[in-house]
Amino acid sequence: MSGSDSDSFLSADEDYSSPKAQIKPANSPNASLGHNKSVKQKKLQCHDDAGGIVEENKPRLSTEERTQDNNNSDDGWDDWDDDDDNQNNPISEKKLSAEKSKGQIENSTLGALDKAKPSNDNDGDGWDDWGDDEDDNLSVETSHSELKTASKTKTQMPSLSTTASNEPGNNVSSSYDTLPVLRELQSDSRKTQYTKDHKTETERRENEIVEKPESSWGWKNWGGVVSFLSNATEGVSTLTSQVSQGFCNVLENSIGVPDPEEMARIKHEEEKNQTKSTDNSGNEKILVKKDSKEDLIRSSVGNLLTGVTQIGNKVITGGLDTLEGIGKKTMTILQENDPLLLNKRKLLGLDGDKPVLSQILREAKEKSEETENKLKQIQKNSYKKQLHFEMLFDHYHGLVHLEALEMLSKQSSLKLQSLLEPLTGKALAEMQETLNEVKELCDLGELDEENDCLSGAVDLKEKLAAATEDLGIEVDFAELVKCWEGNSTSLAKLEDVEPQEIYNKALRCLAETTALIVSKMHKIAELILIQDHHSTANEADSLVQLTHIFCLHLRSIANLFGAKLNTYETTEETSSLITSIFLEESSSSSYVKSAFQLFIPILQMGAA
Amino acid sequence: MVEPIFDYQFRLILIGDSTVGKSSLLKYFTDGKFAELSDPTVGVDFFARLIEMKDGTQIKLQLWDTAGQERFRSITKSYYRNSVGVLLVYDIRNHASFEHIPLWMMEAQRHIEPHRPVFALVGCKLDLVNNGGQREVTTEEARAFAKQHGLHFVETSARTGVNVEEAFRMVTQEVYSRIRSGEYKVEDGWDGIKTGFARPSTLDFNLVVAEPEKSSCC
Repeated sequence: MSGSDSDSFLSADEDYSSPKAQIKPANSPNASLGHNKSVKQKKLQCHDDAGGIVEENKPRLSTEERTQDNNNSDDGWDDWDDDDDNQNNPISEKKLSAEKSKGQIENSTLGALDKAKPSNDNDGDGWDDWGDDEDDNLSVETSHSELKTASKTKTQMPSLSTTASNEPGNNVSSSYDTLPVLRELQSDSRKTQYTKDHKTETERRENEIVEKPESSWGWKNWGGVVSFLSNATEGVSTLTSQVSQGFCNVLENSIGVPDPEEMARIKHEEEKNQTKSTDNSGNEKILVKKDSKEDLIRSSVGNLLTGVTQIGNKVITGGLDTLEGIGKKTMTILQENDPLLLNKRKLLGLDGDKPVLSQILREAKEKSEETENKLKQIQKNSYKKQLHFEMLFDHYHGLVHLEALEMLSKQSSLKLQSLLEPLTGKALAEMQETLNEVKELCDLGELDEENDCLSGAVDLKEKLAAATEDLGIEVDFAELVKCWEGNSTSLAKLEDVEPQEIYNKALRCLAETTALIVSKMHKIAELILIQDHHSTANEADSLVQLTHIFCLHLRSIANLFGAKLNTYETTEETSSLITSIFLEESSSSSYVKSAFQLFIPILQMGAA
Repeated sequence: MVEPIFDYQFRLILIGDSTVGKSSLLKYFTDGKFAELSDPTVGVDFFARLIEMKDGTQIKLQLWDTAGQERFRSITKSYYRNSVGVLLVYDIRNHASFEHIPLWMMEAQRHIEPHRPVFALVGCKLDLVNNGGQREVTTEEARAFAKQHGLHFVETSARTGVNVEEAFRMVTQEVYSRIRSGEYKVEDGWDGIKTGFARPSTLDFNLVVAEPEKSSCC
């Protein structure tokens, strides 16, 4: 250890001039440990041996910092801290000296410093450098002499040192605040050193000087609370406690804005205390004067320093006490009629029992999903209940037959295209003429709307048979006839049923019939396509007839059900139902007609 | 009446020689009945049944029963295109019907292209050989063929109903798995797979839109 110390000491002078050399993080944990240890040791040494050694240690510390390698994780922290410490540490040294001269127990101050310093880790170097820059000549020399006198006088201020050690943060801020004052003190102490003759007068003046900057600092905002700063004695503690007590009283009385009367009273009390404390300080100083002339001046400076430091600490502790008092009082007021602050917590929404937002959202989501599913189910059911023509048409395979017919029609169209492609000139013209002829044959013309309905199943059967006579294909319409028979007989039997039921029956009947018609047309198309010999004219004629019969048949069904509904009392419901039946009838007819249109390419294929 | 609410509709087509038992197989599958006598199919006939997948998905099978007769061959091939599953049906007592299977398969593949359907090999009239009838197509032979061409295979009886359900279910399951894996998609202009028309997909959208409007007023 000592070897490395001396090494770094040798190189110290080179590095001394550059203040940036201060912070160089430690390489390894071991190195940093050793480093800290050495710093501590030096500090202890510094305190024991006083001023002279302190001076020597300064460069040593900074260089040691430098020689360490750069892997410390506390990099930023150190940098940050050092800015503060550069300002703080010279003061703390002065504080140290001042405290000692005031006659504090050496051990207690040492303890305070020891406790405070490790918390700041390697900051010693920072203040050392700073101190060298500015108050080398003053602070070190003065402290040197002051420390000697310190041991002689003893007063009890243990509370101060403990607060300093326990709350390094407070210490820092207080010393920071008093910094300008100290600077003035420094200049003053220089003066006093040269003008030794005017001892007591200067001392008085110093007191005044201390007083003036303090008052200009804006602490007056606190009224009487701050004015005692200049007087620096035990009275302070009583004052602060009184102030805090006063605050408590004020809090009890109202929200927290001090009563003017109360404030006046407090101020008056404070003024009384001030006069008291000035007397006390006077007595003290008289005691100090008895020692020796040289020491007197120094001790007076020390006196002032100690006073300022004490005041700083007192103000902080007093302020904290006051704050604590305010806080406690606020809590008790808040908790009145509201044990454990249950109501207020609820009011502020801070209750721990309150469910988490995500939980609420999840629950809400589940709820909405549930209702959505329910709604879907309801709609499904209503959809099932409510009959749809398309659905029924699909159910009876009408749709798929129509689709299959369409496929055949497309296939035929493609074949026709391929037949037409190689043709040119006359052949093409002939071919196109043939195709157009077929198309003309397939003109349905106007379906006579006024035409009376089919009289019954037998009528239907006969008409269909007549229409397919020339088709050359045997088509079985038994299913269609059967469907018609079944529906008409069951309708005749129906009595005392809801109009809606009649409507449903009509819809089913129409859908089934249309599906059957389309399937028959599909079958006819298939059979035409596989026919070897065609008489396209006959086929076309038959199909036109068939389509007419089919449409007539559908109209008959609609009429039948409509007539049944007409037997009911004419209400809005029945009339709308009758309208819907005829609407569905027309859509059924359009299916049949579109199915017929699909025949054209198929018939053309036969002709080609 | 077939349940109108379903998630998907698959179109399956049954092809194979005449009188192998396609229509009987479908009749049993959709009606649970066996018709002793049935007319030869003209062109194509249609059947439908709803079956439920293991995960609860409702699938409507639209079954196209084609005529096996040679004279309808020219028109039945028009119907292949929109099929997602093909059941190649043969009669286990008729080796010729089994021999024609590769031809049917090639024809189907050719017409369904570019789509690649699920194929299944279905042997019919199992009840007749179990009653001491003459079997012409051995199970091993058929299974080897199925394995060679990557087909599902099953032997059924439309009279007793043995494996009828399985024959259709395995094809449906395979199609559904391929939908799940993304191999099959619902496509415009191709009716092999359709989503259920009654599935209220637009309904959900309305719900989402309607609810915030309600809540915003209060």
